Amino acid sequence: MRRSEASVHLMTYNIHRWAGRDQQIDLDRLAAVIQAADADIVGLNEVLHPVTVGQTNTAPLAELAERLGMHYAFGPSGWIDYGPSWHGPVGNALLSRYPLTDVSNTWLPRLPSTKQRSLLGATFTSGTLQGLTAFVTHLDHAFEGTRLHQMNGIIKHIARRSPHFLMGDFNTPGFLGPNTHRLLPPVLRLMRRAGYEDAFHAVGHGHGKTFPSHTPLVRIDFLFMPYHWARGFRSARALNSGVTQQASDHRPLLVEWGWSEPIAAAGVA
Amino acid sequence: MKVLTYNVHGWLTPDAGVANVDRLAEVIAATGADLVGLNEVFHPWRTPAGPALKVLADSLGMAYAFGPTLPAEPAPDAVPYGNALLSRWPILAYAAHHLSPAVSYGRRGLLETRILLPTGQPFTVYVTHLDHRSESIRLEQWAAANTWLLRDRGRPHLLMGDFNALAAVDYPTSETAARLRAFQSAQGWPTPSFDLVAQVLKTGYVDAFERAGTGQKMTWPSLEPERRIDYIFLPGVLADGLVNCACVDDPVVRGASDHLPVLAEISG
Repeated sequence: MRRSEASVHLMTYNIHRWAGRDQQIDLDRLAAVIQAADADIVGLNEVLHPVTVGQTNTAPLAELAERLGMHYAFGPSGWIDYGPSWHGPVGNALLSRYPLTDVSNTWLPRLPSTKQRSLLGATFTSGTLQGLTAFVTHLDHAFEGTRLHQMNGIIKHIARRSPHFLMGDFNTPGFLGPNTHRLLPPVLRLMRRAGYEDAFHAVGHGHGKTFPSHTPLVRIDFLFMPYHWARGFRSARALNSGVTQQASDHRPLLVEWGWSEPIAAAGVA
Repeated sequence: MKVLTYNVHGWLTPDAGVANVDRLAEVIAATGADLVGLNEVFHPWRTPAGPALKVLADSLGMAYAFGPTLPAEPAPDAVPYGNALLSRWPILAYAAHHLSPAVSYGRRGLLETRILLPTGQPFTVYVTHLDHRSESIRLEQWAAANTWLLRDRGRPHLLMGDFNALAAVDYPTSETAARLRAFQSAQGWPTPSFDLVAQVLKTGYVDAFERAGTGQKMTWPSLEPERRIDYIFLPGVLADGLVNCACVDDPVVRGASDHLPVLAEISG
């Protein structure tokens, strides 16, 4: 993606618990995907940090951030055992070219018999994004009613903050095709009513499908901004290459966003 | 568990067009149903005792969820319309999916509800009401519904409602087929099609009445039942637990709504 002046590259990426299609941890692949996209900010889902694989304790999140020369934040939502001896705290993470402040991890409202999910937030302290807050989340995989419940909690939490954006694996299918508007799923209707614009819906190129990475069927990874700030959306696409098909079961969504004035002084959201 | 699917005709009796909430409560209570899918529900529909859906749920001691469908012609004073579920057990959460394609004859949707069973297990129940005029529109609506249902493939769940579709199994002889064609042409309707139900079965669902039904099977119109268009579908994993299935039919029921309800009992 060619970068316009004064714009940043925002990426949201579910990294499948560090396991590629071959079930191996391979930071070279993930670093290559992020570097090839020239991403400035990356929201990550299904991050284990730290992770124990076999007898080895590692912190691939810290290692990946170091390789990319980026800052990072982690917001756990629980503990996961992924295959024999592959376990650790699991949650959302943020990688950023810019230093982060006010890092928060909020637990989403939880229904009986569902997994606890969380919302990671962090504010950029310098550069073109100074004053902007990023939120990263991963909604329930199984049931739209649970996701609605979770998203109501998120909106209540983030709506008063401005400026901000929300990205992650929503697990709700963004319908494609001529009937898209009429068939908008409940969670996406809620986002629209709450005043948020879907970056891919606004400026997307290609089919936008992100899952599964080798032959994607659905668009379930999203980046949303309040309408005021969504005017800065320049382009959005789901990335595909030989590497993205191996690195995770999701493709990353890359959004280019530009804002010519200082963000902190640019009015209300 | 006992499951009932019931089109309530917009809270009106089929003949006189007067409020039917009391009769519905009587019919549903007599079946002992634990889960009731309702179609053609207006909510909140005002009655002296309160909104009809709440009055019905309260009188049965059940929880309810309402899923409004897409308004085809938005009007400022329109009462939301759609599908509903009554449940003896807590409803954890629900979501209303839209199914109406760009061309359709009304507002159609799929209500998805998550129930907490007494065992502590969550259980998903879907209630839908498909287009009443065109099999090709119903097929489009089924495709949209299936994008949601696919995620529950292999998990115990239920799908029920007024599908407005016919099953080939109900017309096994040339006499019954001829009778159907005569009925269709007398109404000025197109030649009958069995594609929708065939698609549902092909997806892996079991038609509860086809598998375990006994007695009179037609559900509409209630005063002189002629067609079976209300269904309870079970995924394969639940089908072995199906105990029985029947159309609930007696003079009180025939006077309550323009549809007869279908009751299925599932064990385990």
